[in-house]
Amino acid sequence: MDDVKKSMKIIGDKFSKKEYFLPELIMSGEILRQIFEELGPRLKEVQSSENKKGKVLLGTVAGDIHDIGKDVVKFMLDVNGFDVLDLGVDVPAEKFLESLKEYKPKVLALSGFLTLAYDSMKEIIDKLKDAGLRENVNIMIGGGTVDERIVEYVGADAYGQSAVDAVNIATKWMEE
Amino acid sequence: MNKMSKENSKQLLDERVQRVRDAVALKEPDRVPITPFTDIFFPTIQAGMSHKEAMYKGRKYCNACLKVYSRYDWDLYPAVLFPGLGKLNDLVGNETIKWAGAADPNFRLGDHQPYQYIEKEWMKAEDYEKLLQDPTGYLLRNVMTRQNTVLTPFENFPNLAMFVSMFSGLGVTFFFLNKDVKKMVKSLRKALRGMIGTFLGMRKYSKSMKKRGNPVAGQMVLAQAPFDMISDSLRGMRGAMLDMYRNPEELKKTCDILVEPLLAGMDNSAFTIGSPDEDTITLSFIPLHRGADGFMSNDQFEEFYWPGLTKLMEGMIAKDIIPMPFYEGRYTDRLEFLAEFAKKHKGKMVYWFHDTDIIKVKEMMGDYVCIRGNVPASLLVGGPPEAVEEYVKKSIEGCMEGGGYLVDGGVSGIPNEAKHENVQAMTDAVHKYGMYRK
Repeated sequence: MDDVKKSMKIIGDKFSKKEYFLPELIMSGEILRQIFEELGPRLKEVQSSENKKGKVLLGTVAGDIHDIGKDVVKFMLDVNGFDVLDLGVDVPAEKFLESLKEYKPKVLALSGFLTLAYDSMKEIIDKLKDAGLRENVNIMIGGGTVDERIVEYVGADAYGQSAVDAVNIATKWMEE
Repeated sequence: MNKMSKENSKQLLDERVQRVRDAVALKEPDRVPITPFTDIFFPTIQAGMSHKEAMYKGRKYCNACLKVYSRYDWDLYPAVLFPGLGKLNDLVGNETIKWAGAADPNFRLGDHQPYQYIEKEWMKAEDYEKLLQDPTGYLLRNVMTRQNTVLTPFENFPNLAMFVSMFSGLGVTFFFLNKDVKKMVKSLRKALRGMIGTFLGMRKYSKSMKKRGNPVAGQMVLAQAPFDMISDSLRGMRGAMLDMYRNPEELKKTCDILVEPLLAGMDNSAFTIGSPDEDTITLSFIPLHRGADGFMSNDQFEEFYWPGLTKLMEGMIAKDIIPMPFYEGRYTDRLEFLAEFAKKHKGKMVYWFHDTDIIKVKEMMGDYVCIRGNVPASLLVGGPPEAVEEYVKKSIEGCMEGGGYLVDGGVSGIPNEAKHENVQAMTDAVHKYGMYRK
């Protein structure tokens, strides 16, 4: 199992260096899926590893059902040693709040491809403020039509243009 | 806008169209043209309609477009695309998208959600051989029928060409007597009847806009990069990208053979809607999906993506159609490819950019191709108007020289949630800073 972890780390590194792209991530995901099929029940042990860097809560915000960008971010955070809870797509603000209280992540990562995601992100962050939870968490945003201007519009802390940015930003915050 | 005489509106219309034509042909017009597309729901949000209403009330949708677009002094106005799409989708049983108000709860989104595509593996990798042997037959019987459930009887569509043989010829006709086929035809008739209001609305929109001197962009010639067609509609992105490793030859061959039917489809739509460019200009929209930076390497782009797309665009240029690839996302790593192709087809295309630095693009290939874009969605939604003005001013200064620049938003033109005051600021900035001659 260590070999699998090592090879996934290599794939992540090559992706960071722009030597690998989506076809390679998808291909390695496919290989990984086949390995896990063989392993079956031992899968759980692999996933709960000990050297985790810290917890990240991730999801595509309400109204939006796109998942490609979010899934690449999840993969890259995973292989770089973060513990990631992925809430999926079209996630309502309340669900983010609930999970934040339970899971207590240091980083919240909000994804969205459509322009309606701006207001969905804003709603989540406004609700966090109202609930007095905003200070407990660092928030990064990203996705197709999102850019650095939206950080201020929604009240987040950082924007990542790529999955590699997401890893770098999360790493910095975990070390603070 | 004030009521204007027939002569005045005709003159205004001609001036605006000429301005766009000049810019595309890399000649300096009197002013930089502003030619926005808008995302589907911008006019309806502005008019206070829900997304569900927009999907089902075609005529009301067209009226919202008429009212909202007429507020702005633009040189080319959006054509209304797909009004009343929800009704049509229900009636053909479309399973490729989810939308507000869908009759089938499995495909229904909230009343205020824009429609969104579902990516699925409609075709298995093993089927490449069948597709390559008979593309039309395979897509007709095996893919279209599953993407639109009402069209299922086409699974048994006979090989009509066999009509040439007197022995098997007669048997072919029995298809049309089948009761499921009759039922299907009835449903399609019903679908078209349900769309009458929409068609009337579209006609009123075109006529009224023309009367006001507002040219409506000819947009019925839509196209797709062959790789995207495979990725979006046949194999899914996951399938298409696995094919790069597992079935590369079949994938490339399919990209290649899809070009001809795509070009033939353009002849059909030109035939159906007549000669649309008498009072306007058609910039043929080619939204690109998987070719952007980050999706694949430059080597993969060169091997799998670019050949099909360039073959398609060359075919369009040969038919005097102006291709307008929309480079959504970032194309910074691909600029060499884009420039090389532009050099071969000087003044024959429009390159529309989203998140690529257009001033850099202008320096690199501005002598060969007209650039369109790219006021960010974040500014058009978030503002403030002063920041929008500043962005447009900078873009005009960097791109206006020698013609070859059209102002529009970066992604989807004007995004659904854009605020009126920001769109107004974008429009005003063009009139303020875009003059070539005083």
